[in-house]
Amino acid sequence: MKRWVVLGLVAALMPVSIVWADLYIIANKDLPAAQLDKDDIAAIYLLKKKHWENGEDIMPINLPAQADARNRFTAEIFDSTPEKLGSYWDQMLFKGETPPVTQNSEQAVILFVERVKGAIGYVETKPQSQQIKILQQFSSK
Amino acid sequence: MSHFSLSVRLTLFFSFIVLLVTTTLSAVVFYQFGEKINQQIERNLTGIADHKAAEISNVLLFERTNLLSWRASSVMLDVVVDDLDKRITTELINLKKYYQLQGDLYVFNAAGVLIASTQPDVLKTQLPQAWQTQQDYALVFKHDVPFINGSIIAHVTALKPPQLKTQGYLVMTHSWEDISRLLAPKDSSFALHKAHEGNQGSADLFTANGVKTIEINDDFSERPSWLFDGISYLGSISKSVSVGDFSFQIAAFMPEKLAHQPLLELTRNLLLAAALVGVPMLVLVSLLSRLLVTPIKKLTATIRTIEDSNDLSIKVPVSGHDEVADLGNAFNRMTTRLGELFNKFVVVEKELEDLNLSLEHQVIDRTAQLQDTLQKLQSAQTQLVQSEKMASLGQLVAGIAHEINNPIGAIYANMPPLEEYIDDIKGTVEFAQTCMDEPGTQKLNAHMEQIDYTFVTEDLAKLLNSQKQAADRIRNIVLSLRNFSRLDQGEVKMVRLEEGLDSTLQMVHHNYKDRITIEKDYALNESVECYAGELNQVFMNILANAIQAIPDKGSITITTAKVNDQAVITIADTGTGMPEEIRKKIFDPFFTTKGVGEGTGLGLSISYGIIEKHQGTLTVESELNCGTRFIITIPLRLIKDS
Repeated sequence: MKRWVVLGLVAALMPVSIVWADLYIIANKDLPAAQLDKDDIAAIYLLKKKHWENGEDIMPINLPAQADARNRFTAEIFDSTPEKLGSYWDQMLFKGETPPVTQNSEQAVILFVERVKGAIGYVETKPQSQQIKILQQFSSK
Repeated sequence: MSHFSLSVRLTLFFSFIVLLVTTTLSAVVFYQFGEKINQQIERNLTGIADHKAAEISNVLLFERTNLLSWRASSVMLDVVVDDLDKRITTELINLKKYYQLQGDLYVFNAAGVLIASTQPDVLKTQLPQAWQTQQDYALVFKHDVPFINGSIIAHVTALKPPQLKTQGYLVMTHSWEDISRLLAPKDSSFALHKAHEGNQGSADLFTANGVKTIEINDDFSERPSWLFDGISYLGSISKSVSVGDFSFQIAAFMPEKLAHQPLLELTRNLLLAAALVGVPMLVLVSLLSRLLVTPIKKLTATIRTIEDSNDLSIKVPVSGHDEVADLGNAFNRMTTRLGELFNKFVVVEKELEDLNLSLEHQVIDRTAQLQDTLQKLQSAQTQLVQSEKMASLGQLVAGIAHEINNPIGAIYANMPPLEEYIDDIKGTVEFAQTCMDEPGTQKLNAHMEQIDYTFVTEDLAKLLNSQKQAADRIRNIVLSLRNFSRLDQGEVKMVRLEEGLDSTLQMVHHNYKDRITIEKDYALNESVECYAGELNQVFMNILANAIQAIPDKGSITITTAKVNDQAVITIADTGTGMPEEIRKKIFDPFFTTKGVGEGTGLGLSISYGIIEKHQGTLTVESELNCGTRFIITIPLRLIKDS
């Protein structure tokens, strides 16, 4: 009950408070793929696509549920809310699938992707690192 | 053993049995329980060691499990980003707080740089050599690292997210000091031993005196005892316990003294129990045996009393109806019977003794009588022989005396006329001288001178005198012979003893002649009624002996006297005398001091018999080298035998 109240409150407030920025889908530059479309990204984050074309494991990185970037990302890719997606991942966890790794900050996400070859993440700040390539970009509206 | 009293023996016997049983029981119990207790100690010690090992392994396994679960935490993925958001640090601090961890938690990134820690001010430190591992999990035994004070044990686990290679290390430390606390010695001392290949190496032993390093080998369990600080310990080692790849064993040591405490207590209790049972039992046995022995002792005492007092009427006090009482009754019956028999025996013995005594007396009397009779018989026989001899000798002497008496009478009678005739012849010669002329006178004188007439006449008178004396002597001898031989022998006569003495002297005159002077002191001068011939024989014997006793010159003193109607004649010589032994025997028949054939040994014996016949006494006094004195005492009047 309480949970529904909180969720409802958040949903009501969101359209008002959100100021959309650009959203960048990033990956390690060593990855063979140059670009990913929305569906690919969705498949990866829904844990349906697990390997890159070179056979490397895909390691999706998430941001905390309350992060703006995550909201944007959820909305952009899945046209959904982080809560809904969260419960999906909970179900997947029960099925034995590892949900995307959560990093607390965009810097951490960038560093993670820098360091882990198969990792893929999303950030609002455009990364400057040479080690990272942007697979997709969602401009602000 | 057999010289101890029955009660002592019984008590000793039971003491021995009690002792034997107690000892055997103690030995069996001691052996059995000793073995058991030793096994138990061994087991106990192993149990303690196992327990301790389990305790430590529990701590370590708990830590390991925790660590492995913490490692899987999604936060740990932040190692990839060097804990950019300090999420790991926060997590570590929370964990340490929540679990009240004794040690610290460290996270190193893949490059071995410390990125998160519960220990402050150590970030950026390089991963210590000791913690570098290729394994997923490793327990690093007691070691030191530069940034931690004191020795530690460390759990090192690799942070390896799924689908990724190792991204770093999570390390949890546990101070060795805390482990030491777990191994601190109480009753037992412990040593933690890292199990190696071949199971050899050193281990820290925690004793009351501190920590020391000991060597632990494969043959641990075979070693019977261990000596630390001068105290002997029993040792046991636990099973090998593993935490990850790390295996260890715990050795437990217990002071032997402490371990054997139960055994000693058991022994003490056993001895106490034995004493508790044994002492009353011995007292009981002692009392019982005394109870048993007392009646026997009483019986013995009574027997002894009977023995000492010879009183068979004493009875043994009997009480109860047991075997000893039966014995007492039987003994009483026996003493009664014995008493009766003994009394009979005493009477019979007395009779026998009396009989014996009287018989002995009779025998002695008879023997004396017989001896007396024999002596009398011998004496009578000898006297008879002698009498017969003397009788025939007397007859012979009487005959000879008679025959000699006549010619001697003639000689004697012719002597006076012969003197007369010679005087006549001498007168004639003188007359003739006057009557003759000168030449005739001269012729006669010449002739007278030729025949030495003066001498002849003088000598003739002497010759005649001598003749007369000789004839006198012959007459005396014959008279004496007659006197001595007395043909009237068997008859009692009134005679003067002096005459008999003189006659006897006359008879033996030739034996002494000039050698011995005879001194006479006749004071009796009274006729005595006696067998004169026999008395003469007595005088003869005594005088002959007296003469023989004087070897050279000497004297014989003969006295007669009247003392109280008794005639006493003593004949004493100044001869050699005789010793006491001979003096005692001189009246014995056939006793003689002379050579064989010289004396009969009968003289004095016969004399004694003769004096006895006169109811008189014949005694002798003698002193060696001074002389001998015979004293004859006979009554003046013969006392007629009835």
